Amino acid sequence: MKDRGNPFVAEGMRVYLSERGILRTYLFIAGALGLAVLAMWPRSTIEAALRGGGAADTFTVVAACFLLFLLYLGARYGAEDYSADSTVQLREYVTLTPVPLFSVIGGRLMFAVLHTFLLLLIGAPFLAAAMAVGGAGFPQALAALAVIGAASLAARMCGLLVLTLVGGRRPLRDLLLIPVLAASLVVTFFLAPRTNPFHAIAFLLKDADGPSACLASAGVDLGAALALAACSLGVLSMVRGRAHRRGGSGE
Amino acid sequence: MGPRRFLFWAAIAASLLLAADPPAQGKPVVHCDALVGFNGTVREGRFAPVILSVENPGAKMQAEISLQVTWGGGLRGVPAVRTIVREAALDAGSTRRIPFLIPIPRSVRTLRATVSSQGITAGSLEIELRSMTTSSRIVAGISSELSLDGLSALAGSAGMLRVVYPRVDDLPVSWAGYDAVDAVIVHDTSFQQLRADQVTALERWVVTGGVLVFTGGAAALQHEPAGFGRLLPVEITGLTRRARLASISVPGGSVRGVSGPIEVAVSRLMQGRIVAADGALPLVVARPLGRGSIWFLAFDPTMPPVTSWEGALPLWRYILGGDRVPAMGAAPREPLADPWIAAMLTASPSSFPHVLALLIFAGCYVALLVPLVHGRLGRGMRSRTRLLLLVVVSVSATIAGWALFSRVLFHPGLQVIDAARVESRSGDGLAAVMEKFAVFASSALPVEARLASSGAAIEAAGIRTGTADSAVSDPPLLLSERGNKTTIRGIDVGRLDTRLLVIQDVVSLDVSVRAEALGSTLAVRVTNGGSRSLKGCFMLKAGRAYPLGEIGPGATVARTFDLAEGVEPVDKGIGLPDGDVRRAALWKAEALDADRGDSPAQLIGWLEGPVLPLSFPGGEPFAGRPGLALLRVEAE
Repeated sequence: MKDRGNPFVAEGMRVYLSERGILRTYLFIAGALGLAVLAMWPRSTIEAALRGGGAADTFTVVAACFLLFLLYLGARYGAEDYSADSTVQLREYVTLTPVPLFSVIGGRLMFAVLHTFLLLLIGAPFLAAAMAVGGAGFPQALAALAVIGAASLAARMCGLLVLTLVGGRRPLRDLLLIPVLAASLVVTFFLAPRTNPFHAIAFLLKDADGPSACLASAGVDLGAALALAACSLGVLSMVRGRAHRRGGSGE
Repeated sequence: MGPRRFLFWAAIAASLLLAADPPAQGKPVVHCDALVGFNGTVREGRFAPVILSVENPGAKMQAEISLQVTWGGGLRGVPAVRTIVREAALDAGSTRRIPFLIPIPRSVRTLRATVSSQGITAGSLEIELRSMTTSSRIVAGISSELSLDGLSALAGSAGMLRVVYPRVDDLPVSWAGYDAVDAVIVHDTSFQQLRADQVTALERWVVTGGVLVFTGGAAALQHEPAGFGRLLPVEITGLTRRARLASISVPGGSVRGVSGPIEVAVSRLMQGRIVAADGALPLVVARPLGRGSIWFLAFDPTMPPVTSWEGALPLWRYILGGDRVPAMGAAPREPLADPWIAAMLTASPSSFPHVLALLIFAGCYVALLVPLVHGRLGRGMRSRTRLLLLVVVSVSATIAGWALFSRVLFHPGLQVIDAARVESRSGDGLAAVMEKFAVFASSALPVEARLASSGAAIEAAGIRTGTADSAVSDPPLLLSERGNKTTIRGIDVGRLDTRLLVIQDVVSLDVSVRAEALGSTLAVRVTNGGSRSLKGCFMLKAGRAYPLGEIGPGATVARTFDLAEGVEPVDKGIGLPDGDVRRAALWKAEALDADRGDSPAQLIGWLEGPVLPLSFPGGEPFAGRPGLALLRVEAE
């Protein structure tokens, strides 16, 4: 995971595996998912479940909670909310160093992918426990992880874009990031349900083609993540250009 | 028109003709015709035989022949479908008759037959079934003349009665083919011989409750040469002519004997009992077989003077008075509405893994995570080490969670609940079996059942609760018959919803039971000639149970009981070992009417595991317990 070739991956390794605030979020994921699976665990007999006409929604609810947590945390990670003091600020990198912008965004994206894998692993035991009672097989579990991971990555890139646009101005950044993310989820749920990760999770076990729908949604989210990363790249190049112009005029 | 222009237009016309009618060479073509039911009559709510005649004028081919029956509009107008597929070799220039068995539900629509070879349709046929359907009772007369129409006078409160005359060649080859028929009356076969499978089908249908009547007179001499020998309750030795016959006494009253010159078959009783006789000459003989009966009338009821005999209708009413339970309609719409399945489920309470197990699992996982991300141990840890440990712990916990909750504490795979009823009469050697299989799984699974026999009556039930196909009210069964094996598809399960498969068939069962009440004692002798152990056996007589215990293969048990020692079968635990609530539940669900006051003594026992040769690949017995079959054998 440690990539000495890209300073942003190395920095991510250092920060995201040592910052106490960030490490606490890992515990939060495990604890909250544990509570969710406990709350949704079926307590009836098989006969009662059969008479009820369907399996418990344990897996669906746990996966939806996992998605919600990783969307929120992904957005906050992307906006460097948990690492503001320990990381070199993005704008300083861009304006004060000659590091190629592609390396900045590529490094952040690469670390985001690796870190999302770690977060998925941390929550995976609860999904595994909920599989049998919730009526999910391996295809459904893997599809759920794929859609959660891709959506989290997209949220992370969304956070990065907001960071590049707004910088460290906290109240403004928070006011912009979470509402935009929530609004996009609400809008896509009703207007473009096939692209919405919550819709994909909700119908994963209800439809025969649920896993493929999940993978399609994950594909859309990955595309969105790349598009958002590209936008961040564009914004940063504008920031650097403006800084160079200021530096040039200053000289 | 000049010659050039003519040639040009001729070439255009030829190419268009060629395009419109490509050469048929290479594409197989067959001609299909179907005989549905008995003389084109099918009875609603019953199975019906179909004989598909396929004429192959071309080269020899290996064909796949499928019959598709559609019925109902179902919910949202989606019809239910049953498809039966069979493979057959069609010789060059030959016509082959292929028998099928199809269900005729009340809202039946069409039957479509398709013959294909290597994926290419070689011929098809569509038949509108609704116009062929009747709700009347049906009596099949095997007779060279339409001489049994007078039986339609028997129609009464039970509805209309229709007499049909199938050709000997067209008689069903599976017992369920006679499901529509209340009785089969054999008058004569025009000296034709039945095939062995046709005779066996008749015999097995009687075991399931059918009534088979052989009439006498001169035509009776044809019965044995026609192949009915082993079914006849008498040996016919000749003919005699009488001026009048003695009066015949049947329950409900006695009628005067037939007067006038009459030809009567001379016979000797082989099996059963003589119901009426004229001196030493048996006139009416009855032989109980399984749940049904075989009758022999020494006279010809289609000839004068019996046709004008006042006792004819009462006698027929007595003979045909039984009420056979049809093979079709045994599966309720909701699997859990079935009393056997409900009893087996209730008796094997099985729960999801206890929440305490989850609590312990989650606690252990979080307890392993905490030191890695918090506290003294985690504080001085290098990032790489922490990452490695986090990955190891979470991956291990994922594997452990899956193994614990999907393998050790809970089985998410296909679960099978199997309950059966086996009914026989001592000495018959055959038993009527109704076996019900409920299948479910915690996740959606395709289900396939393999039955190592053909000709059984197969029904399925289950209302799909998934959003995608809630319109399908009956599972779209696909039966593939290859040789003597049937593969059943179409009973796929969703997440914790149930499918029910009900199979009825007749199997061999070699159990003889003799019970004799002598004063205040009951002498019992039971021989188990089969290969399976009969568990928890007891004799049931007048509502009281007398324990016999387990009777192993080949074993004989002889006991004498004091009639006063009999106990309530369930209350006192006779035949129901401690803790075996499944037997008690099944007994309560099924056998409450097993013993009527006037019924003969019965052997009651239990068989474990499936009775019919059916398997579900990948399926496991529900709660780890094999299927349970309630055995009833009526004593001699």
